[in-house]
Amino acid sequence: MSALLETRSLSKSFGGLNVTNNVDLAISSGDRVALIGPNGAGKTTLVNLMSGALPVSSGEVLIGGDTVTHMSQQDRAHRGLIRTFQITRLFESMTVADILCVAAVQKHKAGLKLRWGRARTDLVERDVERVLRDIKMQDRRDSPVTLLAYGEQRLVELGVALVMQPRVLLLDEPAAGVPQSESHIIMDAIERLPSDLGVVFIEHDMDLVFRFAERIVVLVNGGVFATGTPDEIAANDDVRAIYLGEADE
Amino acid sequence: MTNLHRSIGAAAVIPLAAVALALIFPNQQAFLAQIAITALVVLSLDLVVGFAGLATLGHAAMYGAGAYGAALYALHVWAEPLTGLIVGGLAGATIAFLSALMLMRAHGLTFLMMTVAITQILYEIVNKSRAVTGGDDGLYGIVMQPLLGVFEFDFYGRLAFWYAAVVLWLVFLLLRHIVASPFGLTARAVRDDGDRVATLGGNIFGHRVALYTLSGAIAGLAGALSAQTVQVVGLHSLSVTFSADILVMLVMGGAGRLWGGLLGALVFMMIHHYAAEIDPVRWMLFVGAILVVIVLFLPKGLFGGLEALVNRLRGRAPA
Repeated sequence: MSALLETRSLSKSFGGLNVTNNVDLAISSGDRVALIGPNGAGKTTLVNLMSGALPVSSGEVLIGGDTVTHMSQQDRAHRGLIRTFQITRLFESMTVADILCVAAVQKHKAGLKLRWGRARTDLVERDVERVLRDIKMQDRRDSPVTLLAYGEQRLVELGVALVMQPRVLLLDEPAAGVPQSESHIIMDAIERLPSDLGVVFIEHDMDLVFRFAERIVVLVNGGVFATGTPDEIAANDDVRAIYLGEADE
Repeated sequence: MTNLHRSIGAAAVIPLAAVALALIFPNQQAFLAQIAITALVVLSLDLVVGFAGLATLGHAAMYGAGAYGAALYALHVWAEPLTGLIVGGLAGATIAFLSALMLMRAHGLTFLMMTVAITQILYEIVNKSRAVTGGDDGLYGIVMQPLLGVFEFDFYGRLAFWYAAVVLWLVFLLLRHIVASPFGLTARAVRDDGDRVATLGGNIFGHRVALYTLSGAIAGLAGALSAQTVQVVGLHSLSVTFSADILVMLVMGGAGRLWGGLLGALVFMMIHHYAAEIDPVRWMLFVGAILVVIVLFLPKGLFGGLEALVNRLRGRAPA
């Protein structure tokens, strides 16, 4: 069976600077893969390349076995590849329910429709209510998003992705900016994600990475430096020296 | 107050305001018709500026296209008003659609400059096509048939006012429906963060083109109304100056709320009317001074200020 998401020799350069080097990655149903690496390792660039936010210099991106390398972000989204952002990007003039509704409208390809219609209203409302339940924010549905605490905004960011019922979810530092004492709320929500969903996430908090990931990919200078289970990565002296800052003495 | 009550209340405002204005200014109905037509074109601009977040100085292109389209149709084909209105709307929509195919690939200042360029190009084409458009003399001698075959256009502009007011009302109701639709919700999202909508599968280019075309159709309707009621079409209808005037009206009233466009047009036209009586040369000074005050103290425009005042009186936080 083909992987849900795959990259083959994926590379990206800006002028003479190579920021992604021949990355091969395969994400299958149910995978929980953490992308880690020092600052500037090319983690977000890799997510941008996979999601279509950046054009690739060479290599391929495949979704469900189909090449999508030159497809737009919106086409990849409709094929089930959804991402979140390191810095929350929510629609600031809207309430929580409106924001989720925007996602549901795009999911049902209704963005150009001039009337709701009973069937569409039902579909959209069902999606919105489902996600409000999943992220446990029913009581916040009519709150303007700008009035929410940052941790709650991160939950809404995750909720937007969940409305789309993706097959693969790319999470760029889902707990970034959230106080350590509250980051478990985000990770609890991530742990409740559907078991068949493929998840790739970038995270600097190693406690979260080791708690959540089943496989860790270490990026250094844009290339895959090491890959393995959390135990294997933790035991890898090279990784410890380069990334975890625990060089042999 | 339920949504239904709110909708009925909102729908009643324009007819009530029209009746009130007609009673207060019984001898100035031609001027009131101009206010209604201007409010219509400002409403169309609000779709682009307020709901799509695209600053433009090119809206006269669609208004002018509607005016010239309806005038040529009346002069050479049929002087029936309602079909002429449709022709004007289609002319505005066509110009908007064709220019949107280029414009919507640009952003920020580039977009703004391209709107100016397109308007100037159209202006010069119309100016040089004297045989068809009358060049800088414009088109005149437009005599419309009775509206619905019954109501004659009169010298005092009574029919013109009610005709324009009814079209304005219907378009306003339509736009209220549209901004509450999936299309309208997506427009707000695209305005806030278009790239984010794209990551959710939204077709941003298609959405902006559709919105601009809809806006162009409404601006074209306004142009057609002007041609039919004033019975003269001049190059001013295609000028960047006119584009700037309606943008000022929208900023004065408050963009992104529909009501703001109506209020801005009304206030601007009233100031223009009365200030020009006091000083026909320097009346723009009044407008300029008021605009500075509004931008500094009422960033959401007059309507935003009114809304904030009402909310404060009711003890509610501003939206």
